[in-house]
Amino acid sequence: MVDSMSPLRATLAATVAAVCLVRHVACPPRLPAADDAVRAADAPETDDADAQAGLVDLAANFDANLFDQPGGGWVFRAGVVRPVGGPGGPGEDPGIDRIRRAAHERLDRIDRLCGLAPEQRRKLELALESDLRRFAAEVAQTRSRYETATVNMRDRAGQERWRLFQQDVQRCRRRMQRLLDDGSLFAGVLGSVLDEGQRAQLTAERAARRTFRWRWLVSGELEKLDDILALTQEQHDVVEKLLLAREPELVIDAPPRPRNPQAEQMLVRLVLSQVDLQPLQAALQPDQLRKLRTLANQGRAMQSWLEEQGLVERRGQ
Amino acid sequence: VVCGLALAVAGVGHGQGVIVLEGGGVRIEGGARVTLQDGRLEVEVRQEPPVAELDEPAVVEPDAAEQPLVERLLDGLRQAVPAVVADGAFGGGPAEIARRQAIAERTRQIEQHLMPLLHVELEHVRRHCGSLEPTARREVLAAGRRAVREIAAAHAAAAIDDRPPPGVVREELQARVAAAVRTRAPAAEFTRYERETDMRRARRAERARIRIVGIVDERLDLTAAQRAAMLADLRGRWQPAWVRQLDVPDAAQVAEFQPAPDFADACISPHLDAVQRAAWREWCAAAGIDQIGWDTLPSVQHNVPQPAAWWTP
Repeated sequence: MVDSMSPLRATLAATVAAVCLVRHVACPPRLPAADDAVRAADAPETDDADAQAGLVDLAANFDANLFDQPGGGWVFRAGVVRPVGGPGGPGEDPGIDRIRRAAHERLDRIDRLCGLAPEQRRKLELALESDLRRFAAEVAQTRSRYETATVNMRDRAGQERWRLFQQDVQRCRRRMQRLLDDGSLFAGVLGSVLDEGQRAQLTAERAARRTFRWRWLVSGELEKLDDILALTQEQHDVVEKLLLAREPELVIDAPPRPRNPQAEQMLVRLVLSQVDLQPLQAALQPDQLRKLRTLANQGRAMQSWLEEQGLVERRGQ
Repeated sequence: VVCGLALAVAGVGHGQGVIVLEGGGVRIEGGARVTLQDGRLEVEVRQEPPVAELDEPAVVEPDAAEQPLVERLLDGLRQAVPAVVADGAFGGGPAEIARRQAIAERTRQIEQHLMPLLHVELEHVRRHCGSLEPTARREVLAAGRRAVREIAAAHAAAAIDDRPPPGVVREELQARVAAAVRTRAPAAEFTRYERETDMRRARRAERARIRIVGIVDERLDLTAAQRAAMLADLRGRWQPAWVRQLDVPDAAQVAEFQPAPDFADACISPHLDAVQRAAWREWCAAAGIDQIGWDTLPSVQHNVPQPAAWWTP
């Protein structure tokens, strides 16, 4: 249901920022006034390509960053970075419909598992729609802060504005990821309308699905480890057992779609960095252990990024 | 014969092939070494033929009396460099020449892509067959490289000629490496290596099954009972070629769908309810792996270790 900023976009943003920073250090620009950082989109554009190259249209980028529209990419249009597929803009919520569809899929799944009565389903649909509308209003309000705003990534004020923009996007994304979770009207109604049997059935199915999904992710990573480390069956079994025993609380009701294979791989490697080392030391050759630690460290280094990807439930927020 | 074969070699290789008859063998300087063993010709290519320069293939017109030897030599060459010395390699019009060049180019790409798979196999051999003599190691290494080249050539030819891929690459390579090790390693070590290879194959098959069920689950929201039944059915009716599910990239998309494992339909659709089955049919029609003729090279890890110095003592 919910999507996160793709690594491509994250890379682009980082690259734009890095290039701007390097250029700024290497060739100090004229001292800008604070207001120079944000320009109206309809302001006359200079012919100087260098001056235009660092411009990013925030309003047009807001939905693309938040909803990660499929097929999206980035273009320089009139010297300004905009997402492919149109300028976007105030009042357009292309992602909300996708969230609505995914939310209804979630409701359908609950219905299949629990056999909801019509009245139960009607109450849940109302709660779902209410949560969606509240979220859409929050997005619209946040987006409105960036109407007609274009930042120049070549100056510090522009970079700071871009950072704040990303913080707002992240906040909305986190909210989106937990839209129907604890604290939502939907979760409250679900807790009250299901009978005991339905609740037990739902809990058991969710747990089984989570376990299967973790097994799938672990098996995918073991496919790679088998090649990289040339594991024997015995070594493979040790690594597999350790990983399966540390099943994280994967998001299963609304997993990121499309899947994020890189995040999934890094999640397994992060968990690998947290397992008991003793069995591994006993089972693996020193060179295998060294390589395994390198891979695990890759996962550990991505921990904060992984937390933003919505793969694992976030508790206590 | 010598002149005719010199021209043949010139067409295949370097433009300056010199054939020397010696003892029971024929040596082609600068190109290949041909020997008679057990009544058959074996050709070992010493250097990579610069096939990209194969603009005007030479024409071999031996006398009738020389034909059998020429044919045998060409057979040997076909085995050694199948992408280049394919049927009719020494003739044909511009289209045939272009085809051969395309195959040769694709062969090089596939060979490069598959090399990490060979490195994986070699590492397994090294771990389990540590007693291999230095000479035997070199021979296994050479056999492995030759296997990669030949498998790449066969797959390149199939791709260019729009034919189905001939076999599962990883397993072909495992078989070729195992065949080279079998006669050279101590029996106990080879047995251990072979047993581990079998277990690796079984692990991959189980991963492919989990992946098939996972992909279907992700799209169709299966229940725990459905997943278990599907997995059991896949285990019961497993086809070795289905392991190709592991080679479909995670991020692959066809018409906004992940490719559907329609080849295993018999193990999937019986376990779906009516709504899921309708969605499954729609998915398969739009992006079924068999339906759309999805083909891909095996996924390989490019950070696998290079063969250790142990291989080239």
